[in-house]
Amino acid sequence: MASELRVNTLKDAAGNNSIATSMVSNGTARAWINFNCAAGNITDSFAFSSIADQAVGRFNCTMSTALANATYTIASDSNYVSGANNSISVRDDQLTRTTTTYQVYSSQSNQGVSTDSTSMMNQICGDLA
Amino acid sequence: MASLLKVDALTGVTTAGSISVTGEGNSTTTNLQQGLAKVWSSYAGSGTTFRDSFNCASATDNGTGDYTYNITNNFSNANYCFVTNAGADGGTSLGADRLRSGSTSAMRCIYGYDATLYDWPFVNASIHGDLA
Repeated sequence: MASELRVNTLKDAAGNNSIATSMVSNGTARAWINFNCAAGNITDSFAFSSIADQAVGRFNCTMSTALANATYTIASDSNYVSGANNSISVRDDQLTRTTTTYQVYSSQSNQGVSTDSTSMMNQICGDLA
Repeated sequence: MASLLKVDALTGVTTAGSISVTGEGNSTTTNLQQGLAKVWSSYAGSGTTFRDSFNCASATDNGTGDYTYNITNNFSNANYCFVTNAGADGGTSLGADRLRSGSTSAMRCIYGYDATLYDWPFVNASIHGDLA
């Protein structure tokens, strides 16, 4: 049977490690995604509905649950298999953010060349609607 | 009225690994387990230990700017979302990084600038995904 618990603070059974439920809620990532830019598919995700290929290294990402505003944080990173020391820069890009959609762009950091990473990863934190 | 729950473990009733949490706007819920960071670490760019960490067993220093994170509780697959960055040495170069390879228990990453591997003094990482 489904149940609902309403409580302000959580502690372990010994009464230690107190944490407010508001901290649990605020500190929980609202969405995360791992997608393959080259193949254009989502490898794994939470609370994302789709990605859309805009150009090499540039994708629009759409979350399935809207946030309360568009001031959420996007932490991004990626993997790239070609070139042993080629690192990747990922930036929040161009498209005006909405409460569900944002755009990311990845390039080889040493060359500034747009790159379709095999594993683009984003974590979203912010306020839910 | 303020309330306090003392408990060592939280488990979903319908599905053990799924507990809904109501969001700040009071109209939307999110999955607690899916949203939790399963790993985070602050690393000094050398050695086998972390400044601070959660669910990290050790670090392996593979060479300049090349480290492996060895985690304590494994993921169920290697499709997790890994985010890391590095920097803070007072210079003008920008820290760059990438995940080189990842398994359910270890993630090897490289850090540097302009295609040069470098031991940045502050290396941060966090991982979201499915635990085993």
